[in-house]
Amino acid sequence: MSTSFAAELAPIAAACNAFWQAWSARDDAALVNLWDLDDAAATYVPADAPDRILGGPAIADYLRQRVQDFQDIRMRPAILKPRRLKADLGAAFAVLDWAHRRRAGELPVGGTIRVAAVLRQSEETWRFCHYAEAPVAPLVELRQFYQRIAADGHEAWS
Amino acid sequence: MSDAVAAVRAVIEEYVGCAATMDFARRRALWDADEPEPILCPEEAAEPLIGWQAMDGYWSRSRVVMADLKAKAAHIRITLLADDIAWATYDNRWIATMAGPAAEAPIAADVRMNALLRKTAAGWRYFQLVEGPVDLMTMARQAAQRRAAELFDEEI
Repeated sequence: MSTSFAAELAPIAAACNAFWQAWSARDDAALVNLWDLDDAAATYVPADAPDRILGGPAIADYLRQRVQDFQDIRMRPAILKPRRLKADLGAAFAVLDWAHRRRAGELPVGGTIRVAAVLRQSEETWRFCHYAEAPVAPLVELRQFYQRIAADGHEAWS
Repeated sequence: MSDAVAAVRAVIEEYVGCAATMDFARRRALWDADEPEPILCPEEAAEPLIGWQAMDGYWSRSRVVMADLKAKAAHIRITLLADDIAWATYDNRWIATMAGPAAEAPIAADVRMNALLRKTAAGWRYFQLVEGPVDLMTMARQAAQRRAAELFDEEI
């Protein structure tokens, strides 16, 4: 990757990483600040609900509520592919491991999602205007779970 | 609806409509041939398909593993990010019958599609498409709600 190419993509990657770090820190102010709240067409597609969330204010409410819903949150990107579409327009595709725990003492749950995002630069800051969480098909995830149990075999089971 | 939005919508509807004939060559033609790193992330693919070689392999396999495929799009939302770049989300209900001796009754699901398209000399073309079903826990709840609705004689 050439230096200029890397420099072009670095701010987009940095915004994505800042977003996931803010989730892990449960920092709702930082999460919301990474969104273009004035964008009435902004969309957030959550993995755990069938309906899209539309508009900056509704997305901000959703982010704040999610932080309140969980005591611990972890986000760890496995793949990140940023793109520069225009001088002030970028996109990112990512594969992201996630886990969260609702309350102390509860076992956490987690998984892997794919992410498609669009970001815009304004006043030197890159902010999200679209973000879609895309899990693997539940049928595939169940098959993978069965395969992991099979891989464990009988030796460690009783 | 602007001409650009109508044009993007027409491409999306054609792309979805290719399911009826399983015309994956036509689907490929609706991608930007000049894009060096297209990304297609089908919901059933354990790993994302990055690049033409991975995508071509997927389409070749799709032609073999399915005996029949139908798809319909709804709730198409298109945002023009620039004169020549569009972000589109839409719902896609696919119904598939698998091929081979293990063929069973058709299966179907609703998937949220998240697309990036670019205006090219050939028209609007995809350069990224990420399919997003609801997650396993949400689908399990939907399945349980469907069963419960039968007993309560309620519509869901």
